[in-house]
Amino acid sequence: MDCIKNNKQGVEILTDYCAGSLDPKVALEIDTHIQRCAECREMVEAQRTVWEMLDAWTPPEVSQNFDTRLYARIAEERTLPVWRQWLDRVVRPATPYQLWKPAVSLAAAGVVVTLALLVLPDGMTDRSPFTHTAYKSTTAFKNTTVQSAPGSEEIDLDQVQQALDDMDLLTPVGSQSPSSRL
Amino acid sequence: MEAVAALERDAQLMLRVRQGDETSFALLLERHRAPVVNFLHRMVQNRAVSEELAQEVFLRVYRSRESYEPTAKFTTWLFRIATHLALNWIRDGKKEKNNESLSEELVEGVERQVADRQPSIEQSMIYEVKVREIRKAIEALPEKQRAAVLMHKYQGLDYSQISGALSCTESAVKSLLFRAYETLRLRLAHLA
Repeated sequence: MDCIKNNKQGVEILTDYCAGSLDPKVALEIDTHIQRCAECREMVEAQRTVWEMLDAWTPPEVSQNFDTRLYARIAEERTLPVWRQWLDRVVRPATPYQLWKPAVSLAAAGVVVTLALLVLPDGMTDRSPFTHTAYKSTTAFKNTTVQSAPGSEEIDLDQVQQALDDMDLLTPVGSQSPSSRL
Repeated sequence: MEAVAALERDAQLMLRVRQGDETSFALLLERHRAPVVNFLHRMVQNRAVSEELAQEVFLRVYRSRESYEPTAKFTTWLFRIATHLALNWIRDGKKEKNNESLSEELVEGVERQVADRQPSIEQSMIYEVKVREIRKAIEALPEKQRAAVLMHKYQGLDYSQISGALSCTESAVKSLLFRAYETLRLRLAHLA
């Protein structure tokens, strides 16, 4: 047999061997192998040592009132309104929330896309309240400009016309106008 | 064979709980109370917190009785809940706020464990140092490696169950365990 440590699953097999969870037939093969392979023997011994050390760590006993406290919490929960019990199940589910994350992300993405599809075709003007307000104020501003702009152009033209007329009045009859002299 | 029988028993008990049988819940609690509390204690290394989290685990089991379906082994489901809560607690950094004096707890443990054998002061001290080193080594492992080792070593869960509890593949579990044990071999070598 080749050295187990060189095998892709070798370390895993050796770990199972130390844990005693290996098939007896395979375990016997490992027995034979580690007798002649110093490298694997060393690893198995180190792993067994760790395994035994971990056995030394015994947790404290469970408090005697553990069940009483638990049943009190259960009883307390039963007194809650149905909506609150339902909410607790949603907010604190037995199944880890992490598993929901992809679903939640997909749902959120779906909502965003749907909203975008509803809003965009109308040029972000009428349906979105925010855009609508912004659009209205912009239009109002533009209208003011438009209303005032033509007026100011007219005033300018009148002033120019008036200035030219005044110049004509000042020019003596029969003489050439400044423009005709040029 | 024994494991299959146990699975069936747990699942059947849970199905009875779903039908409103409170006695079955008491039996489930009796069977799994200590393993869950011990696992959580080793995960968070704080007695009060571990019991609080274990209460939450069983509360969630009870709460979800109506929707329970025996699609996976009951212990896998149970330890998935426990692992999730423990990892959340660790990630929330609550351990810093609630950290009890480990030495006090350790002394209690030593006294309890060796009281009958009347160990010498020296033996107690050696044991205390050893356990402290083991706890530190376990605590220093990355969260998922820690959970994998604890479920593998102390709860006797197989790769499939651990992968179910950690929501990862079996090969990922093997990789986690390989790295964790390698680290522990190195860190605890001086105690051998």
